[in-house]
Amino acid sequence: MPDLVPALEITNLSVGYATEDGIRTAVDKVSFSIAPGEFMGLAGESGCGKSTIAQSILRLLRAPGVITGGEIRVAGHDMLTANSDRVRELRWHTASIVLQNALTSLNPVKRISAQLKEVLERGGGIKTPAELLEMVDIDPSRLSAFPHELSGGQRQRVVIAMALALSPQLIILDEPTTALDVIVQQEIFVTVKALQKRMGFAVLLITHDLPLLFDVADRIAVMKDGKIVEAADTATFRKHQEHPYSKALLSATPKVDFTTIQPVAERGPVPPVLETHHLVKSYGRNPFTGSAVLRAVDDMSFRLAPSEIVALVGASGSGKSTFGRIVTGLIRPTSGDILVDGHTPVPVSRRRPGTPRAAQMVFQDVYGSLNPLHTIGHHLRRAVISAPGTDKRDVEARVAALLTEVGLTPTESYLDRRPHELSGGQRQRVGLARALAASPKLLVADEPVSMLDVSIRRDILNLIARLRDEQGVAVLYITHDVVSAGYIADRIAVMHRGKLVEEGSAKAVLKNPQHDYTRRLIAAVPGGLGLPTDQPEVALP
Amino acid sequence: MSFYETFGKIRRQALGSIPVLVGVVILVILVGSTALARWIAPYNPTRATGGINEFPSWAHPFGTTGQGQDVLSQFLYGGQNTLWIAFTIAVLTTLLALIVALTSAYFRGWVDDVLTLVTNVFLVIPSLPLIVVLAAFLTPGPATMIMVLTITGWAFGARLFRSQALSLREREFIAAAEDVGERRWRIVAIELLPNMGSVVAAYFVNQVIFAITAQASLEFLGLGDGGQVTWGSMLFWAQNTSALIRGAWWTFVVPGMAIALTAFSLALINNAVDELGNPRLRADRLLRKAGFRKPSASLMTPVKRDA
Repeated sequence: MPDLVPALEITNLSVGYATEDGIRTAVDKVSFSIAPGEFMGLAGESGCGKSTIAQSILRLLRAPGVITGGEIRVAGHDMLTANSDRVRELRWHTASIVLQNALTSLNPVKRISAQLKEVLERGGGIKTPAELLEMVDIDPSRLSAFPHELSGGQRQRVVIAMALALSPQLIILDEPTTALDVIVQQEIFVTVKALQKRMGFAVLLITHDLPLLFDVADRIAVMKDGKIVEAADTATFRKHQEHPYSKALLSATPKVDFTTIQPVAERGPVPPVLETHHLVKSYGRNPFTGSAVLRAVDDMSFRLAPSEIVALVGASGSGKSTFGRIVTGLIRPTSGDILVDGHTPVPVSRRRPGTPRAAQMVFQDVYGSLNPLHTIGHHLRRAVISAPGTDKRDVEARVAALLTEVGLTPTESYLDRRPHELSGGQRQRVGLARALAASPKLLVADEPVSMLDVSIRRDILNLIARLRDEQGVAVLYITHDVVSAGYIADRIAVMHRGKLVEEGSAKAVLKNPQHDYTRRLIAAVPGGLGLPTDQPEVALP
Repeated sequence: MSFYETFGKIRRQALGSIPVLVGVVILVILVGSTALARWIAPYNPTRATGGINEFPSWAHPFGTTGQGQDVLSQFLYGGQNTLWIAFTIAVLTTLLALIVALTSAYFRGWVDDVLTLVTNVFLVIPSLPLIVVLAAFLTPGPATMIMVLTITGWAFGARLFRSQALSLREREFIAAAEDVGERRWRIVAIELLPNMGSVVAAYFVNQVIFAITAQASLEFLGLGDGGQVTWGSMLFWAQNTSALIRGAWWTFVVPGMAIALTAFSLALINNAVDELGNPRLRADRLLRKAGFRKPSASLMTPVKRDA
């Protein structure tokens, strides 16, 4: 009776990482099992050990990862006592894994067909590469394409096709759509669910996105600090969460509140803080026709009033980040006019300390936007010193004031720390403080929360809103996430393929989208816009 | 029992760094003894103090040369000359390569194009003939040696550092520093350069090896200052006095081993430097430290069961 054997059975699994002071436990005696054909979701924040589990199942966890105890059985096969050859045989055949970044999973110099064949040659596959592509809804004529010729979503579909090539009993999806847009994410999961129905494999989906699990999973487990704190059927879990952490995690997800009416501040005819006319940024040039190969920003005319928060929403590649970088002067437009606080932005190459800067950038990558070798104090001092009109004697006081504004107190305890000693949320607060050093009129926040854990996203968004209220700084919030846009912004502007397709008050756009693309964007949000939980907000411990 | 356990623990813990430890010990002995040449060398290295090609004895532990000089004293004084010239060349080539690379990264545009062109020209010039020609026309001596090897030795480093600097330039903290209005030279010197530490260190160690071997080769060809004692000139004189035919192996094995051991110890030390810039090497060492003796060649996650 093979059907009674669970697709995955994990008992008391402990996994650790070797450090200078011995092995540090990352997964602590975790047990769970997945029935054949079941769709299980494992949710948790970064560092909780969910990806460590995913990679341990196929013994793929890299050094210095070590499995320190317990048992893993995939369709009845013991993975931990098997030797290397046996484990390699079980990979692809009984279980396979889909990782977050399809670009690194695929070989860039081999055609898709060759890579699919490689998997099929391991034996046991009954499909041809063309059938595999058809299975994941890709035109079989793309077989001869190289990975870079496919879109991010298509690449991930190819990897899923590879994972299913030898009809395994289990596929592990480790954050498969985190790097993709919501619309693409939705389409991929529609495909996966349809395939699962037909082929009957079990799925373990690792994600930080609880609302996504509500849409796709049969059962949900929540992890914290290497332990599973709660596991329940999706229907049960959705109605009632047993563990306070699950509740907190769920209520931390920003939601759009349609019940309160948005106060529309009546502003007189004040000059806008940002104004663009027919702004164009194009890349590459066709040597024969002389026309641009790619128009990243295409004829954008846009206005932003003082103290206004406008969300610029769009998919990746829509040109929203390019627009943000033009506004701050990091890149120069090809043509068109741009005025920030009445002046053309000074390009960075001609910027000197003391040059007035009306617009400042808050970066997405909280790990990359602070120099790992310098202290927090260094970052802020430099920003303060090069700000216009700074009295050199007041630098320390100004740095302390900035840290206080972004809620990093006591300030002296942060000055000598280096970025790696801070959490992601604290790093983004430092990023905000740095941007505020020059007292800008406009903050350009490029996906400031997309790399942060769900539980601190709302805190950072609230902080941005508070800075607007207290300092009157206008915010251009660039994001792919319509929910957070609806949460924080006064107005929403939707960008699609370099063009502005829709603009209006946030709630009006979300409630009554005019453009087809906006409608698709909103429909693809996992769990819907106003997440129907009756839970009151719970503060995270 | 406890002795055995303790011994095993120490052995396992040190296993990861034993090559590095060996490298450091060899280098310290070599540099230390040659630095103290004036006090510990038994004879004047240039004077004939014994018979011709004397076999090693108590009076001359490493034997004597074809001209009756003491090989041990030559090894000590020669090492001093060889090593300071080699380290000077390594410092100069590293600095020159850094200056060219960072200027490229700082100015970009046509300056970068010109410097890249110059670097490529120096890369494709066959260096040994150029060295021979230069060394032949200039008066032999340490200054010539340093100049010749610096001119021919910097180009690869410039290319290495330039590519590293350009990839670091794309990091967001550089864009953030530009955004707050930092001057460009400051971005290069304070934000960019310190992040290149591990590459620069690894390159420097390799340059010392390059300088020692290149210098010895030139001197062996007779392009050095024949009157000055160095490891290379020891080899030159051994060859000239037909040491091989006469069976006086100690006259060329000693300087040859000295050059090989210096290069060997530096290569071992480079292991530790490599680890700074390569987290995978560090991960493997930590695994060994945690008691997994077999390196993860199969890349299979190891399983350890507590008793």
